[in-house]
Amino acid sequence: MLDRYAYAENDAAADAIDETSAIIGIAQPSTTSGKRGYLYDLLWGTSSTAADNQLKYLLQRHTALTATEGTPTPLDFSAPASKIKGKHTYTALTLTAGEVLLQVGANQRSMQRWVAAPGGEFQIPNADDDGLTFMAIHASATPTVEATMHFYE
Amino acid sequence: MSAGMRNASVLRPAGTLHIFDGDGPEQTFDTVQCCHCGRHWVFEPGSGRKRGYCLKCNAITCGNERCDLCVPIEAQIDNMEHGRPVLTERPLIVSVPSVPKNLFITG
Repeated sequence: MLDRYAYAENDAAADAIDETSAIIGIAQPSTTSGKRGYLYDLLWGTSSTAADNQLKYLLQRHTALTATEGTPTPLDFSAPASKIKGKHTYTALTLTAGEVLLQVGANQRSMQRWVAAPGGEFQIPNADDDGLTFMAIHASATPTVEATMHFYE
Repeated sequence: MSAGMRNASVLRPAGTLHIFDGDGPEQTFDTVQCCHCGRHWVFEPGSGRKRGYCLKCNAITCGNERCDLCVPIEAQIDNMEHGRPVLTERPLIVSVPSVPKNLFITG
């Protein structure tokens, strides 16, 4: 039986596709967990004062990162703690070139949700520090973006 | 489905994108997935974007040049886990039928 988890965090959008615009992520620990992860639900929106800014949102693979580690919440209280870790407040990020898995442009006033059909999940390999990072990009505006990831492992 | 716009365009979507605009109706879009890199995108017939189709996987590809080579996402994940280059192709598996003994040339 696969255990399901949720992880939510927030951060400000930025103007570059790197650690400055990273909002949230999930990643394998630095020593492999022995399990693959599957992201199946991603929700995001902004909590800043409403404004008409067109933001670009990216979900991309990474192979290395330096970030604060968070603990995903199991959706079933009896499930063990997740092997895959939540990440936020990035200070370094090595993105995998060409591995943009989702790209959406949307107004800051709107809220988005992407959900996978069975089999359409984003996979996280069982390799050190590998994972997925969600980023919000704008040339000048820096609204706070709230994001939630649901995954199973 | 609540009152809103639904742009369902594919028979078997790999995902769904919902956009909840503060002023307008909810919009829902089907997403399809590249069988090689795993990327999702909103399916828009007539968009002009060139996509691909893999005859080995019998599935759609995103059209990126790196996805022209048939390395399914499962194989790419396996390559990442084993430290191989991501686009390392799978070993070729060939079925060889048994050869009748009278076809062997002896002596």
